[in-house]
Amino acid sequence: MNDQEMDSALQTLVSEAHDIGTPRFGEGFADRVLARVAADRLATSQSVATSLNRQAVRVLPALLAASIALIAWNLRSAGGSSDSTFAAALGLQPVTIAAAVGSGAMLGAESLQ
Amino acid sequence: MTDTDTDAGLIARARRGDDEAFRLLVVRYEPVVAATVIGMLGRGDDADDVGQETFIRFHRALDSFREESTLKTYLVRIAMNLSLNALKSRRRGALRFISRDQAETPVPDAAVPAVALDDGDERRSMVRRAVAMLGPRHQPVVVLRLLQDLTTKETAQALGIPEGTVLSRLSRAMQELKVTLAPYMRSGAITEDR
Repeated sequence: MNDQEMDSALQTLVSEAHDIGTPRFGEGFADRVLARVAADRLATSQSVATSLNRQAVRVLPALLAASIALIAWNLRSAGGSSDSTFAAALGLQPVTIAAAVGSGAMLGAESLQ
Repeated sequence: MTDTDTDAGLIARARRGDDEAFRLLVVRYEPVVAATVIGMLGRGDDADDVGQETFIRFHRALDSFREESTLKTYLVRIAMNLSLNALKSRRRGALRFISRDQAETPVPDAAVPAVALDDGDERRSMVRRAVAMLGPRHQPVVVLRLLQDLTTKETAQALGIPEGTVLSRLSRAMQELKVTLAPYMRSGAITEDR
C-alpha cells in the first residue's frame, strides 16, 4: 500500500468510524433547550430583582440615619425662626423680601439697590 | 422560504422574544452541533448537555451576534470550545478517581492481532479512540475537516486559527493516525470489510 492509498484508506476509515447518519441528539432536544432557555430567563430576572432588593436593604439604614441627622441639624439651626416645625425640619427659610434680595434670588436685585 | 424563515429573519424574531423562531433555529442547526459534539465526545448525556449549552450560549448572545460569520461556523465554534472543556473535565475526573492503569486509554497495539478488528463495531470503536487520543489541537481539525466536511476556511473560522495552521495540524494528525493504525492497515484488516 503506497502513501496515497494509505491516506485515502485512512480518511475513509475515520469517516466510517464516525458515521452516525444524520447526527441528532436524543428525542425532544429542542424542547429541552427551550425549557432551559425559559429557566435561564427566569433565573436572570430573579437575580436582577434579588440584587436590587439586596442593595436596597443594604442602603436603607444608612439613608434613614442620614435623613434623621439632617432633620435634627435643620431643627437645631432654625432655632424658632421658621414658620413651622415642618418647615424647620426641612430647613426652609421664611420667605421675606429682605431674605430674597439678600440671597440674590431675585433677578436684577442689585440694579434695584 | 420567506424572509422570516431565513437565519437572519429567525434571529430577528428570536431577539424580540419569539421562542418559536428560536426553536426553528435549534431544529435547523441541531445536526451541525450534534456532529461536532458527538464527534468530539461520543454519544451520551455529556454530549446532550454540551449541545444544550451551545444553544443556551447562543440565545444569551443573540443581541450581540453579528452576522459577519455564518451561524453555522458560530455555533460550531461554541460547540467545539464547550466540547474541549468537557474533555478537560473528563480527563481531570479520570485522573482523580481512576487508578493509573484504568486511566490509560486503550491504544491500538501492534502486538494485537489484526483478527481482533474483524468485527465492525470493534474496529470503529478503536478508530474513534485513536481520533480521541489525538489531543485538543489535532482532534478538532479531524472532526471538522474529515467528519463534518467543513472547508479549510470554515474550519479555520470555527477554530479561530489561520488556514495554514488547519492544514499543518491536519497533516500531523493524519501522520499520527497512520502510525497508530498502520499495523491494521497493512494487514488489510481495516479495508477488507468495506
